[in-house]
Amino acid sequence: MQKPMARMLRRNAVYFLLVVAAVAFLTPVVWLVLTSVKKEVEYLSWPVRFLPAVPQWVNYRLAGGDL
Amino acid sequence: MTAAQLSRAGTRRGRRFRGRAWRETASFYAFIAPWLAGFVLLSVVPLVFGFVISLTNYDGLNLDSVRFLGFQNYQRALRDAEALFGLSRTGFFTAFYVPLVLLLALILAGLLNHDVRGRGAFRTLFYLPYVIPIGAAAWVWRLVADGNYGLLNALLNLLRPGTAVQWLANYATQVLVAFVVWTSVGGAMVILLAGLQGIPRELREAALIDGATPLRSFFAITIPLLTPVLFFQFVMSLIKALQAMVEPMLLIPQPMGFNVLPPQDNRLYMTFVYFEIFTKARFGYGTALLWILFLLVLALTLIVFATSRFWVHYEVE
Repeated sequence: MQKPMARMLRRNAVYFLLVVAAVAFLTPVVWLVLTSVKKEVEYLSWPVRFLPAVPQWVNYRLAGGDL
Repeated sequence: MTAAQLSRAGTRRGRRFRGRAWRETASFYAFIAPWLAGFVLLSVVPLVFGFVISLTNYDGLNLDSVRFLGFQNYQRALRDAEALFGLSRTGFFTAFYVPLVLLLALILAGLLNHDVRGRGAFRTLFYLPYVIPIGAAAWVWRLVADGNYGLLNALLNLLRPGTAVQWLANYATQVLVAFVVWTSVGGAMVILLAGLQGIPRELREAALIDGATPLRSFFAITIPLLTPVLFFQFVMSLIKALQAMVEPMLLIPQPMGFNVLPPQDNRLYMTFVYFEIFTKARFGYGTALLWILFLLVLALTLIVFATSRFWVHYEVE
């Protein structure tokens, strides 16, 4: 049987890899969500603004209106 | 009962039996008729029509000027430098995409097969890109990989100020492979995870008790028992890679348009076919190109099936 220490290390390694993969997978999705509440000048600007100055929820209202 | 009466009774029985058999046959065909009609109208007729078109110079508009060319379109396709270039780029893309998807899906499925907290949440996260519409996914990847205002360059600038890599133009194939892997690994992971969960735990436990290391148990028990699922996933990924068309057309550095070509490295076979058919109106030639691709996919699939008896292990054997 595995020793408790080895088991704990293995469990932590599994969590570490899962978190790294989750960050890699989620980054574009988070960027998609953040971009959806930015103004056009914000997402087409350099240096990049990670967060919108004021969330543009109106984008969703506009998208809903297009449906 | 006389012999004549017996004979009459036998004839009646035979007629009754034949009547019932006919009714059964008729109801069988009545039940499968909707499917059969759909198959003939939606599969057989378009296939035959497509093959006939591939033997002509049809331009998609003018039926009056249609001329029968025989196999000229096929001969031309086999000599077309652009088609052959597209085929070589497709082969290059496939050579990276298929192993990467299988490997990443297997690693993620292996990690999720452990008894970890939040397993459902991780599984959902990894599956999420698979359900995002391809247009939205490509748009966000363009925003991430853009050379002027992309997230990737912004993150690299935190480490090394002044970095401005034109990812979509100079690393087009790498970005394309990463994008298609990102969008499809979730689906492969779910299937492999189901396969892993179907492997009896006792087999691995018995191997560990016998002194096998976890790595040895993985390669000697888990992988062989998983080969039918890996085989299925391999074939599906292969077909998907060979038919890739939309992704390279969406991941372009310039604004999208009806006839905007992807960067040279991402001009895969199917994108070439698309431009031949829809921008140059060469329906006959384009259809011949599609038949060539179909034969190629069929040949590769048959080769994979033929080799499967050496590396795919079914439990019933």
